Amino acid sequence: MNEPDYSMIHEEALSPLKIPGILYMGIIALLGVIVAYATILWIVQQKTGMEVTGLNSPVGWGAYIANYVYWIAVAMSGTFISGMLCLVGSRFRSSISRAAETMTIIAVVIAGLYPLIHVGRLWVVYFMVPYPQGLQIWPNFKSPLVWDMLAIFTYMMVSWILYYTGVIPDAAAAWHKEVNSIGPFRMRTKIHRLLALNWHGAASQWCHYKRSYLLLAALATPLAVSIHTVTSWDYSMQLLTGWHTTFFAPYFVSGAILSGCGWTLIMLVPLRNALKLKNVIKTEHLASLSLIMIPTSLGLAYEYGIEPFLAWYSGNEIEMQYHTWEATGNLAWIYWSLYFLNVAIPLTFISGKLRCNEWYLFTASILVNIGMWIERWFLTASATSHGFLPHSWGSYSTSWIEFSITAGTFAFFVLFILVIIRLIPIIDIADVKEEHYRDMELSGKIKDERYEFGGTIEHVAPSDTGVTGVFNNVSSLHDAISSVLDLSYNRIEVYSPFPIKNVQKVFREQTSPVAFWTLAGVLAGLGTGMFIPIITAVENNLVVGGKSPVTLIPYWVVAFEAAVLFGVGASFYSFIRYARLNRFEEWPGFHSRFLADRFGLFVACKSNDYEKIHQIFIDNGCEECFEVLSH
Amino acid sequence: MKKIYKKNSSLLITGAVLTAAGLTWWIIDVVSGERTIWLAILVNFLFFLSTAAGMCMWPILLNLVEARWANAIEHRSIAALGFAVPSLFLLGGLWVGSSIRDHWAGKQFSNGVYLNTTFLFARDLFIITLFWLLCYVFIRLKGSLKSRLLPGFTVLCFVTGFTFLSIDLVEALKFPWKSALFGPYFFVNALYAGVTAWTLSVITIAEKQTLHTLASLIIATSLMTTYAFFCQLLTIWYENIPDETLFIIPRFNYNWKYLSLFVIILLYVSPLMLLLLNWCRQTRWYLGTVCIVLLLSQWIEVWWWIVPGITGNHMNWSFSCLAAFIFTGGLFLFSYRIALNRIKKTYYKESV
Repeated sequence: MNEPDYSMIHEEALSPLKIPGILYMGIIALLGVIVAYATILWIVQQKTGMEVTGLNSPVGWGAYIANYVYWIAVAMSGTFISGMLCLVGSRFRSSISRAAETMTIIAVVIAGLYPLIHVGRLWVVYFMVPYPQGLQIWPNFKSPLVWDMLAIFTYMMVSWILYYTGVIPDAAAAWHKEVNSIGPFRMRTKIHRLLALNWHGAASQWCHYKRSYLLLAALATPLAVSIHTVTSWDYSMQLLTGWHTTFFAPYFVSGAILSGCGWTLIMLVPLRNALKLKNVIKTEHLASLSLIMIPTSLGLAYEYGIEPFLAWYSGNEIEMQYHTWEATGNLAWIYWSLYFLNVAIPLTFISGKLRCNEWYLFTASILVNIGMWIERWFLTASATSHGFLPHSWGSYSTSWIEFSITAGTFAFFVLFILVIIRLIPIIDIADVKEEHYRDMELSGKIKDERYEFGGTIEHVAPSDTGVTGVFNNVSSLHDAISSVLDLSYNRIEVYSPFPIKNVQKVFREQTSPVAFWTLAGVLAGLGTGMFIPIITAVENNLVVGGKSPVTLIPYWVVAFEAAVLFGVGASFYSFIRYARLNRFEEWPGFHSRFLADRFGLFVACKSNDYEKIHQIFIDNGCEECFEVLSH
Repeated sequence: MKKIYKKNSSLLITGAVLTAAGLTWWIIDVVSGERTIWLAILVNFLFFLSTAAGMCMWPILLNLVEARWANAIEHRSIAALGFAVPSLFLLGGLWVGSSIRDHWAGKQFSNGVYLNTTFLFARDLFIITLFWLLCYVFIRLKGSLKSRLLPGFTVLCFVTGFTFLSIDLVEALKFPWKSALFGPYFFVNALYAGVTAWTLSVITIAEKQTLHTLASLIIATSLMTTYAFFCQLLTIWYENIPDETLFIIPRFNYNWKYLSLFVIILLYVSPLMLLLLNWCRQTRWYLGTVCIVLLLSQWIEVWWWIVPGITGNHMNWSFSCLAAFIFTGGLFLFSYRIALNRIKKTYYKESV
C-alpha cells in the first residue's frame, strides 16, 4: 500500500494562508497607490465631464468599452476553463481551476465598473436597469444593452456561487488547521469558520456536493459562453461595417478563452514559485493549459481571414474599402501586430520544448494579453472612426486619464489576487487530493477492488452514540465499511478529505434531490425569462427597429440567462439544505484530521456493541479508535 | 467468422441493390427531363459527404486530445473513408451537371473568377481529395504516430476545406448572401452528423459507458450547432439588411416555416431533452432510435439549406430527391462495408 501523502498536499496548499512578509506588503502598498490614483482620476472625470477622455464624434466608444470587453473576456474564460475541464473530466483541472475561478470573480466586477465609468453621469446609471418606472424609459428586452446587463448580473452571481461552492471544503480544512495553530479567535479563523458553514467532509455531504458542483459546472459553462456572446452582440447588432458580422460571437469567445488561459498562466507561474507550490501545480499542467490556446488562436485567425475574404467574395465595396483601410491605413501596424501577438505567439506552443518552459509561457502569455487588449481597442475604435461616409471619418486617441484608469483596474486586479491568495487556497485542495488518489489508482499502485457494498445506509443524527475508526488509507476504510455493513450496522457516516468513488456509490443509493431542484429552477427561470419580456412588450406596445412589440427570437436570450440564474440558485440552495450546511450542529464521531489526511468511519451503536465494532476496526487496519458518547 | 461473413455480405448486397435501384430511378428522371435531379444529387452529396467526413474526423480529434475510450470502436467510424472515392465521383457528376442546373449557369457575378464553375469545382475536388488523403495517411500511420502534427493538420484542412465547400455549394446558391458563421455552422454540423452515425454504427457492440460518452458528444455537438444557428439567425434578424435576409425570409415564411420549426425542434432542441437522463444514453434501442431520427432530421436540414434558396416560396418536393437519396445512401453503405473489412484488418494487426 503506497497512497499519496495527503498531509504534504494539505500543508503545502494551506501554507500561503499566513501573515505575509515585507516585500508582499510593499507590493500591496504600491498597487494600492495606483488604484487610489485611478480612483481620484475617475472622480476628476466625474467633475469635469467626458471631455477629459479622447472620445468625440464620430468615435463614441473608446478605451473604456475596450476595457469592458477585455475584462468580460477574462472573466468569461475563468469559469469556462474550470467548468469545461470539470465536464470533460480533465486531469489537470484540479491544479488550475481555483486560480481561474479567482480570476473570474474579480474580473467580472472590474468589467462591471467600466460601463459606469463610460457613461459619465454616474448618478443616472440606474436608467440602465430594465424596471417599470415613471420616467417614460420603457424597458426594451430586444436591446443588446439590456441583455448585457442581465448577462453580467447573472454571470457575476453564478461565478461567485461556483467559486464559493468549491471553496467550502477548503475553508473547513483551513479553519480546523487554524483553530489548532493560531487559535479560534483570530480574524482569519473566524472568516474561514464563516465560509466553511457546517462542512465536515461527510460522505453524505460529498454526495450532494459532487452532484451540485457538476450541475453548476454544466450550467456555468454555457453561461460563460453566453456572456461574451452577448457582449459581441453589442457590436454586431449595429449597422456598422467592421462590427456587423454573424461571426462575432464565436470570435469573441475564442479570444476570451485565449486571453483567459494567458492570464491563468501569468498568475500561476510566479505564484507557484513564490508560494512553493511546484509539487502541486506542475509544469505539465501549465503545458496542458497552453495547449488550449492553440485552437483558440486559430479561431481568431479564422476570423481575421474570413471577414476580408467574404468582403471580397460578396463584392461589397464598403466592406472592401474598410478592410483595405484596416490593412493599409494609419492603424495598419496595429492590425498586423494582432497576427503576431494573437496567432503567431500562441502557435509557438506547438513546440513541446517551449511549452514546458514556464518563463516562456509567462512571457508569451503577457504578449498575448497585450495583443488581446490591443485587439479590443482596435475593434472598438476603428469601425466608428471609419464609417460609411468619408466626411464622417475621424480618429481617436486614448487620453492619459483613460490610460491611467485602465492601469488602475489592472492594479486592482493584481491587488485582489494577492490579497485573496492569503485568505483562500489558490488550489482546490480536495480536488488535488482526489486527483492524486486517482493517479495512483490508474498507475496500479493502489488496487481498485471495485467494492460492492450491500445494504441501505441510514443517516446519523447529532445525538447518536457509537465508535469512530481512524484510517490512514482508503483500502482499509473500504474493508471496514464492508465488514460493518455485513453485520447490519447501517447507521454509519464516513468522513474523508476528498470524495471517494466507491463510498459515494453507497450513499448515492438515496438519490440526491439536488438534480431535481436544479431542473425545477431551470424550468422556472425559462418561464420567467419569457414571461417578463412578453408582458412588458404587451404593456408598453413598443415598436423598435421595425419589429413587432412581442418577438420571441431575442427573448430567448433573456430566458436563457434567467434559466441559468434560477437553476444555479436552486442547485446551490438545495446543496446547502440537503448537505445540512445551514445547521451549525455537531457531527457524531467527527475529527478535524478527517479534513486533512485521515479517513473516518463512524458507526452508530449501543454501548454494549462498542467492543465488537472496535475489534472490527482493528482487524481492518484502523490506526486509532474512539468512542462517541451522547452530547 | 461465418456469421461475420454473412453480415458483411448482407450489408454489401443491400448497398449494391439500393445503389442500382436509386441510379435507375434517377436516370429515368434525367431522361424524363425532371428539373430538380441535380439539386437532389447536391443535397444528398452534401449530406453523405458531411456524415462521412464527420465520422472520419472523430478518431482524429480523439487522437489529438489523446483520448483512448474509443479505441475499440474507432474502426467503425473511420471506415466512412470508404465514401472517399464515391464522393469524388459524385462531385465530378455535379460538375458535369452544373451546366444544365438552374443556378449558376449563365449567370455573371461581380467576382466572376471566384464563382467560375470550372474553378469552383476544381478547387472543391482538390479540397476533398486532400482531406481524404490526409485521413488515409492518418490510418496508415496511426499506430506509429508520435507527433500530433498530422492530426492537427487534418483538422485544419477539414475546417478550412469545409468552409470553402459551404461557401461554394450552399452560400453561392443565393449569391450575394454571405455569412461568416455559416462555415463553422456547416462543419460543426458535419461533426454532429458524424458522431450520430458513429453511435448508430456501434449501437449493438459498444459498452454502455462508451454509448453514454457518445450520447454526450451528440448533445455537445447539437448544442454547438444550435449556438451557431442562433447567433446567425439573431444577427441577421436584428439588422434586417436585404442582402442578409435573403437566407432567412424564405425559410421562416410561407410553407417553409413549418419545416424550419421541425428542424429547430428536432435537431437543435431535442437531443438535450431526449438524452438528458443516463438511462436514455445507455439503452441501446432508445439511443439507436434517437440516432436514426437525428440523422433523418440532418438530411432534412441539408435539404432545407439548399432548396428554398433555389425554389423560393414553394416547397418544391419531387421524388428525384428520394431516388438520389437511395442511390447515394446505397453507395455510402456499400463503400462503408468494403472499407470496414479492410480497416478491421489493419486494426487487428495493430492490436496483435
